[in-house]
Amino acid sequence: MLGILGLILLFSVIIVGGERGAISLIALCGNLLLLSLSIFLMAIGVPSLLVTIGASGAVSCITLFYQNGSNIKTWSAFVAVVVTMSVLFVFIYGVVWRTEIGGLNEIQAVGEDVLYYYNVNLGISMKNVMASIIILSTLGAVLDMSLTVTVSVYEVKNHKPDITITEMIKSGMHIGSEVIGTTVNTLLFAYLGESLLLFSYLKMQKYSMELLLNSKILFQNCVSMFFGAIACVLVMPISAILLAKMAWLEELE
Amino acid sequence: MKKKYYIFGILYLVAIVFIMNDTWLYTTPIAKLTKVETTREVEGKSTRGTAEKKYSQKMQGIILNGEKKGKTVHFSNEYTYTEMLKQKYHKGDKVFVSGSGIKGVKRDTELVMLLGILIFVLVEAAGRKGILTIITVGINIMIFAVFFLKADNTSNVVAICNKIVILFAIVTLVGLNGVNKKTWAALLSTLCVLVLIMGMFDLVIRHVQELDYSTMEYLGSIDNPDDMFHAEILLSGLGAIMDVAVAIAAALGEIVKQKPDVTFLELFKSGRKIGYDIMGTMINVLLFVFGSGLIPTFLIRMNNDIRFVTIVKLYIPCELCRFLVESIGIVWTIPVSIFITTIFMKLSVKKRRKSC
Repeated sequence: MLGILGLILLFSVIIVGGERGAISLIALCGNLLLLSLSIFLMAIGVPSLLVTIGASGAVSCITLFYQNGSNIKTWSAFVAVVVTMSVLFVFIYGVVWRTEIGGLNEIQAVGEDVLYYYNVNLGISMKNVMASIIILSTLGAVLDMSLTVTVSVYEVKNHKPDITITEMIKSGMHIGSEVIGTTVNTLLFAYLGESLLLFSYLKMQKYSMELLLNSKILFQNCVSMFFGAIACVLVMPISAILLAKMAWLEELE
Repeated sequence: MKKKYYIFGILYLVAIVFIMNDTWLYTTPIAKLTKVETTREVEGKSTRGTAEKKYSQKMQGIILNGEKKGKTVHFSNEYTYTEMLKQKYHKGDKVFVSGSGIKGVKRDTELVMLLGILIFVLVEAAGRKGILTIITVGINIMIFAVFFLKADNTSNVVAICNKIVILFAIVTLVGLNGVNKKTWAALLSTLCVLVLIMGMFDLVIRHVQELDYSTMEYLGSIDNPDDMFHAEILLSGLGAIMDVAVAIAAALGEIVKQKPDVTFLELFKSGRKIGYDIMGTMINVLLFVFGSGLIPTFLIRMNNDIRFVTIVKLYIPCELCRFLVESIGIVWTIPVSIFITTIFMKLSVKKRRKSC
C-alpha cells in the first residue's frame, strides 16, 4: 500500500518536474532523514531544544543551499529565517510554559497502551519537546516564504538597478502579501484535517463546547498554526531588508 | 493612520480583559489558584535509567462562578519531570473543577491574545489582502463549525466532507482572488485534482491489502474509520492544492495578458517552470507539519523498547499514507491546472477576437 503510493509519487515527481523535480525529491528525503534523526536523538536523551536548533539549521541548509545554490538570495533568506525563529522562540517558549501544553493531549492520554503498558517517565521534558514541535512544524512554511521574498526582490533589483532600499523593502512586502493569504490557508487546512477525527471523537465523548474551546488539543493545534502564520509574516520584511543590505554591500565591493 | 492603531489597541485590550473575566459565561465551576505549594518527592527512575524528579503540589483556590462562588477549594496534584500525562499548575491558573479534582485549565485568554497578535501582523504586513485572509479563514471556520455541530453519529461523513470541501474551496478562492477567470480556473483545477487523487487512492486500496485503520490515532469508538480517513485526506491536502492551483493560474493569466498570441506549448512550458519551484516547497511544508506532530508518539514508544522501524510499520501507516496521497495531489495539480487554465484563457482570448 505505502510502497505503491510512494512509487506513484516518485514517478509523478520525475515526469512532471524533470531534473528539478528529482532534486527536490532528494532534498525531501534528506529532510525526512533529518527529522527521523532528530527524533532518534531526542529519544536517547539529547536535550530536545539543542536537537531542534541543529535540525533546523541543517534543514534550512538543505532547502536553501542544496536546492537553490549558494548566493546572496539564499544567504539572506537563511539569515532572515535564523533571526525570525530566534526572536519567536522566546515567545513560543513563554506560551508553552505559561499554558503547560506539553505532553499528551486529553485523547492521547487515555489511550490503553499509554495508561497500562508504557512507562511514561521518559526523563525528557515534554515542555521542551512541545516548543521543538512548534518550531519544526513552522519551519517549512517560513523557509518557503523567505525564499519567495528574496528571489523576487532580487529580480526587481536586476530590472531596476538604481532602486532604493526602502523601495526594495516595500516591493518585498508587496510580494509577500500576495502569497501570505494562501500560505495561512494551507496551514489552516493542514491542521483542520488533523483535527477532524479528534473533534468527532470529542463530540462522541460528550465534551461540552466550553471544555473543547479550552482543551489542550485545540490549543496545541492552534498555537502551531498561529506561530506558523506569525513567523511567515515577520520573515517578509526581515528577508527584504537583509537582501537589500547584502546587495548594497556586494556593490561596494 | 495613527488612529487605526489606537482603535485596534483599545479593542484588543477590551477583548483580553473581557476574556479574563468571562467566568460567568461558563456553566462548569472555575477556580482560580491562589496558593500553590510544590514539594519534591523521592526520585524515581526514568525509562533510560536516569533519575526522574517527582513533585507533589498542594493548591488552594477560590471558585469564581456558579452557586459556590467565593468558596475556597483544595486540590492536590502529582507530576514528574517529564509531565507526560499530568501537568504542573502555576499560581494564578484558572482551572475547571469537577468534584474534588481538576478537569482542565482555562486557556481561552492565551488563545485570544495570540489570535490578536496574528490579526495585527497580518493586517499590518499584508493590508487589504490580510483583512481578506482573516475574513475567509473566519468564514471557513464557521462553515466547519456549522457542519460539525449539525452532524451526528449516523450521518455520512464523506458526503458531508465533500460538501464542506467544495464550500471551502469556493470561499477561499473567491475571497482571496475575487470573482474572475483565474479564480474559476483555479477552482475547477482544485476540484479535478481532488477527484483524481481520491479515485487513485480508492483504486490502490481496492487492489492492495486493506489499510489497517485501527492504527489511526484518536480512534476510540468511531465506527466508520475509513470514511473518516477519506475526509481527513480531502481536508488536509486542500490548502496546499489550492495554493499551487492559484499560483499557476495567476502566472499563466499574466502571460496571456502580456502576450495574447502565446502558443499552447509555450504556456505549458512556463507553467511547468513555475510548477516545480512550488511543488518541492509545498510538499516540504506538509512534511514538517505532519512529521513534527508525530514526535511524542515516537518518543514514548522508543523509550519503551519499540524499535523505530516497528513504530513506522505498526503505528503510523495511516499518517504516512495521508502524507503520500497529499503529496501526489500537489504534484498532479501542476499539469491539471496548467491544462485547465490554458483552455480557460485561450477560449476567452478567442472569444474577444471574434467580437472584435
